[in-house]
Amino acid sequence: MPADGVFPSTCWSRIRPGEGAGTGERREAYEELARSYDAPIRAYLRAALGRTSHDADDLAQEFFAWTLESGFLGKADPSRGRFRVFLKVALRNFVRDASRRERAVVRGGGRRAVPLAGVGDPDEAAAVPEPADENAEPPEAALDRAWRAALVGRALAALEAELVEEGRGVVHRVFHDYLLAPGEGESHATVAARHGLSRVDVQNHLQRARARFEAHLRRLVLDTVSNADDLADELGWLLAARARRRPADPTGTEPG
Amino acid sequence: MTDRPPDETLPDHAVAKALGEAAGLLDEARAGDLVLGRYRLVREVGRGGMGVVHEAIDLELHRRVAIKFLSLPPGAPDDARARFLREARAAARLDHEHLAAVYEATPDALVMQFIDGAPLSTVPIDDVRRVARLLRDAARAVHHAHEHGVVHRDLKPQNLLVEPAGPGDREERIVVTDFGLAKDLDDGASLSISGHVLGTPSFMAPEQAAADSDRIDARTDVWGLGATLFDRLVGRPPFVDGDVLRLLRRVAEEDAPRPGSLRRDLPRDLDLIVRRALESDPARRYPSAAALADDLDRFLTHRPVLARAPSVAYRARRFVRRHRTVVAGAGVAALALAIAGFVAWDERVRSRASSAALRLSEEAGAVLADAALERRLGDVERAERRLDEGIARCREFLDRHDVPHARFLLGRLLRARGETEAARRALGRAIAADPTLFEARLERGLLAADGDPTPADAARAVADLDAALAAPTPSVRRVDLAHARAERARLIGDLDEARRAFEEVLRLDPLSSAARLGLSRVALAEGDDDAAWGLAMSAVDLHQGFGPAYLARSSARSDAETGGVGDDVDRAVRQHELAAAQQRIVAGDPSAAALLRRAGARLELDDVEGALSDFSTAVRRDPSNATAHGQRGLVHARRAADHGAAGRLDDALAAWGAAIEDWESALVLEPALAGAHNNRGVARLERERLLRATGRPDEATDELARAREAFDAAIAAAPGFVVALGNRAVHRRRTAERRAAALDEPGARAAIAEARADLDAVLRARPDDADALEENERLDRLERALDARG
Repeated sequence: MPADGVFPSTCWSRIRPGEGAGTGERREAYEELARSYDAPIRAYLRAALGRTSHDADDLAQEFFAWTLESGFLGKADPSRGRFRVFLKVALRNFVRDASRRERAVVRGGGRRAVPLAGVGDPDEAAAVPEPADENAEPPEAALDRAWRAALVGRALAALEAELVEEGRGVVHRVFHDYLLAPGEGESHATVAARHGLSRVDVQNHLQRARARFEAHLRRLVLDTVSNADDLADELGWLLAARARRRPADPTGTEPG
Repeated sequence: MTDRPPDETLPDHAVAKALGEAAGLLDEARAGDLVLGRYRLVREVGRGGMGVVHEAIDLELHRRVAIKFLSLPPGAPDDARARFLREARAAARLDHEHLAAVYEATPDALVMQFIDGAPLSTVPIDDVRRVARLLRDAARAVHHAHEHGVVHRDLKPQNLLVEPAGPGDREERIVVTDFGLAKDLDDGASLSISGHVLGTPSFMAPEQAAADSDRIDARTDVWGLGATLFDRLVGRPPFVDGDVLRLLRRVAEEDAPRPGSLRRDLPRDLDLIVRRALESDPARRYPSAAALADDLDRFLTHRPVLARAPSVAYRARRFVRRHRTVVAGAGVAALALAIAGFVAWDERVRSRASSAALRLSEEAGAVLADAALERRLGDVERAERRLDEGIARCREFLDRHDVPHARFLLGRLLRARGETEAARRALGRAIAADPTLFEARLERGLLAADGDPTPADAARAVADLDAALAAPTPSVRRVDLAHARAERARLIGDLDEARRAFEEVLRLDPLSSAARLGLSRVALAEGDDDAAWGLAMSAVDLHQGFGPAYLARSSARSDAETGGVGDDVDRAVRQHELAAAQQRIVAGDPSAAALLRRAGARLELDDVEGALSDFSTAVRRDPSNATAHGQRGLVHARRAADHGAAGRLDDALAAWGAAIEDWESALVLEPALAGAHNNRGVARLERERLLRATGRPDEATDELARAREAFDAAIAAAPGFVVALGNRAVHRRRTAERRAAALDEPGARAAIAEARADLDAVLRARPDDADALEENERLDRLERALDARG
């Protein structure tokens, strides 16, 4: 395993466990990384606790503080897993902890216990009612979904910054519009019309954007892992949600 | 760094689409960026049980290389990686024009010469001289490796690449690849749990199928070459069976068919050569790959080959040996004579190892006693741990001394652990090596009597028990003999004698759960349901864990007609398993394994949501557990089927989608899980149907294409995978129907032909497969409709 050689300075790998002197750096790296993913963290908390998004913001703040104060971060060992997975574990513990505290507070007050179903320990979860939230996405699924969106969003933002600086913002806009358009065949045409380009231009722009986007995405994922196996796993996880290209022929004749 | 937070949150479909644009990262998703600082990955060129192969460019030497990334199957021995490295380094020393050169080896990856050729499996079987020439060259290369102490162990048509003839006078060239990637087959480590196949044992030698690692040597590769030759002369490997375990057993126990019997025009000399290479007994094979190459060369140059058909006497002896369990009751003495030479050899080893064996025997006895106690105390986990220790000790011992008695002890411990198949194998081998090992026959008889034996198994069990009872040795305890008598009587329907003998067992061992189960079965057979129930439950109380559950459940099953009681026992046992798993989880073993177990029990009790929740927790706790993903996929599939049956088509679609995700997750973790490939194909076929029913024909078309990919992948991962072949045939038929509806008659007929080819393969493996026969009729009808239209 090329532990140090290949992954010397990713954000996640800088958070080494039990380092006294490095605490400041560790904390800094963690904050930088965790703040990049505060949307997924909030998504998790919303799904776990069925709160409004305002509450979730507060809770996210509490969560950041909790990881530092509870010593949970000190236990993190980047060589043993991915940042996203670590965060899930941390969140699960935080939510358990928080709900216990809250139950202690509300006991006797006549309020309903904090709904926690679907989180962590099944036995504990079974003891509390289902979340009132209509949208009953499990917290980890919510986090995953938001995480993918955050990664893609950040990669696109980086792509945009880079292309604008080169004076080729149109490449980014074409890519962006293409992604937002539904379907494949029609989106080429729509995007071409909107930007006054030929379909060939659109295809060339997309080609160019694609390679760089891929590179940005990879770099961002790299920041959340510390070895090649984890990188592979995380990329595999990320791309499991990808849309497959449609068959080239839009009339829908049978391929294969 | 140009990072800044994105201005907007993208909708899900745009995220998915964006990820689709980044699919180039997929290669890395398997490979990581672990390219040793100098290799740039180009594309994935193949995958197998041991990992993924990529084509890559060596940036320093500017040449194409193939990099194989090792991914070990779960349950692989701890030192597997080290062994891989050792063997790969040995392979790196080889230099032969018909061997793919190994340039570099790390614990994770192997960098090899890139061979721009097609696997031998693509060479047509009609030109037998061409096949013989290619195999001769391959055998020479393999011999070169043997001279350097490297055994391949996984020779098969997929590992032999044929480079086409090149410009000038460069001739077609065969290259042996994948040296140093030897499979380790100790006790089926390459078969993952829940029956998923990681590779195909079709080309495995009997000594490999029997997990007899001591006997693996150069002649194992002679078998591999022979099996490959067989495949390229006949068009299929020597052994084919949809069920992997059965296939393994057949490879270990049966003789390979004569290629000449499957291909009439095969030259007799080639037939003889293949048969010699495929002798079950390594000592009767060609002594070296070079000898095989020489004989092939004789064939090619029209000289008489050295291979001879086995003599009639030898075949008769072999027949007796193979069927001795059946003949045994008739005359044990004659058998002992037939293999006397073997036993004598074994005696020498045995005397050397005898004091160690004695210690092992005592240790195994202690392990069994401890495990029984723990079961009684209800600590199944500890009982299993203790048994695992004992099993490990036996295996360690067997690595050093292959003594039948040690193998018997191993079989006994395996049986106690609930590993019935492995126990059967170990006992079978112990008995094969020493037919006078009556305690092993007794054990095997009891093992076969457990559960729900088929009449043939029951007959074999009776033969084993008879043999044990006829020649009791001092090492067989009285209680065991009484047990043997009891089970024998039960099997032949003498219920009175069975009850008396089981009661004697109880007198000798008042805590015997086996006797209670036996009595429960007798009571069930006599129609005394209440007594059967009470006895079964007390047996379970005494002996918690897998063993009794298995026994009680099968006793319930053997009496399916009486329904109520049978089901109750069955259910109670599962309830019990559930409770035990629950206890364990509560008691602080939140391992994924414990959760999986509880999930399985919940599922059997129709608690689908509970099972789903457990599987999900298991997946969360152990995200790299492919089994957890795979099984959760099955739960999703079950929900999907329920939704579909209730007419909730959108829910069904979503549930099939969730199932696919799980199987794909499992496949990310273990790319060669043929079962997962197949399952995701089935899910896609189901989605295709549902999408069409809900008026989304384009998406349906898409699913149909992806289903094809999935079945192809399943069959590529496990050639001869009957279920996947059958499913692919269904897929082709549906494709044909679509094409017929679109008035594409030639397309429809082509799809029908493909469906027929797959069905033929299914019917060759299972001639009476009702589904395949029915599918054939559907094709007939479709064809008639096309004819009528034309």
